[in-house]
Amino acid sequence: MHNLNELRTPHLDLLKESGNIGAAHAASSLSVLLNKPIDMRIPSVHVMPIADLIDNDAEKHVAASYIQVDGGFRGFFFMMFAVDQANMLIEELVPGSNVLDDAMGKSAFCEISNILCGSYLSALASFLNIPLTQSPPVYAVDMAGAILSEGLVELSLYDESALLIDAVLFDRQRGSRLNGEFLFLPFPDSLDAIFDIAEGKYSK
Amino acid sequence: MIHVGLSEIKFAECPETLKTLGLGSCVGVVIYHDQKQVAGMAHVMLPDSSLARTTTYPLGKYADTAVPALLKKMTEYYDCPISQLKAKIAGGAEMFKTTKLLSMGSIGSRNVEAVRNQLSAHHIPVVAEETGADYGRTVEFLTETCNLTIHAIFKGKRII
Repeated sequence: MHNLNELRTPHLDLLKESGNIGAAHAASSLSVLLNKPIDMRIPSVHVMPIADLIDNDAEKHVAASYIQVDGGFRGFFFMMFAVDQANMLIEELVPGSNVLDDAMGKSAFCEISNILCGSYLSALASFLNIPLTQSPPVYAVDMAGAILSEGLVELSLYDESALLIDAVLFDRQRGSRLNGEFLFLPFPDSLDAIFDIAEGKYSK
Repeated sequence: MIHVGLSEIKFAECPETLKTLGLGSCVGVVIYHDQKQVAGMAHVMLPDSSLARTTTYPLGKYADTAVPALLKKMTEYYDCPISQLKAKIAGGAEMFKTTKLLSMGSIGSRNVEAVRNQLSAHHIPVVAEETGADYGRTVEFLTETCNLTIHAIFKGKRII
């Protein structure tokens, strides 16, 4: 079993590359959904201690959705936006709605996370040649630290660190950036697939 | 103000305060001596260290290691008689409406129960608590008054 701290630049580059491919797919799906051009890219992928991840902006008011990943790879996927940014996203999809609207707002936000997570995973699945499935998203609006620490509880039994993938959405019409945080958190035993590919071992 | 991070244990003497941010399913445990105005706070993430898959972990992470560590320092370093110590706890929420996804079940209530069990095993009375529900909490303990201030986004401020 591998440890997240053993991930080196080639591994992170592999994840970033597959993420960027996924992001391109996600951006075109989102563009269709919102009927306007949206760009998305993954500027960085890095490993950081869970405690730092959570204590950083622990009180920030966010909307978050949480998806479980299974199949050839086990992990969690988080999508998190500051509430005002999340409201802008939702507003595009369902005018007049917001994060606290438990019916439409929540459903719009979860749908966006479904698309983003799905696109990312399908890129990763074809890269690593493994099947991946995703659960329906669960949703919460509250303090970032409170939401993240609950989501990361199971993972924290294995590792004190987490793999963080940042994504930036860009609305070309408005000319504005939407900064979201996308956390993809694989279980340590799932990292073997990434190691094998990065090290040129194709165990297929 | 002394910041207590995830899985950490910190101590403070009057007039210092102990603060931890964004408790979700985690539990903030304060053990204090009101006459001496000394307190220790742990930010507990999980109920029991037998769950750990790693050999090393911070003592504040698990309820069964955090409470004894708090008591040890309060009695040995700060010289407080164990029979005069009291506790206040907050947190242990359920942030997601469905816990179906989390294989560990209702981790918030398990944390609260584990902390209560640890405290009662050491005969430390829980003087006040604000636990459960579905919202995040930021808590601050004031050694001067022994008040625990709880702040939540949609609920405002409460003092216990």
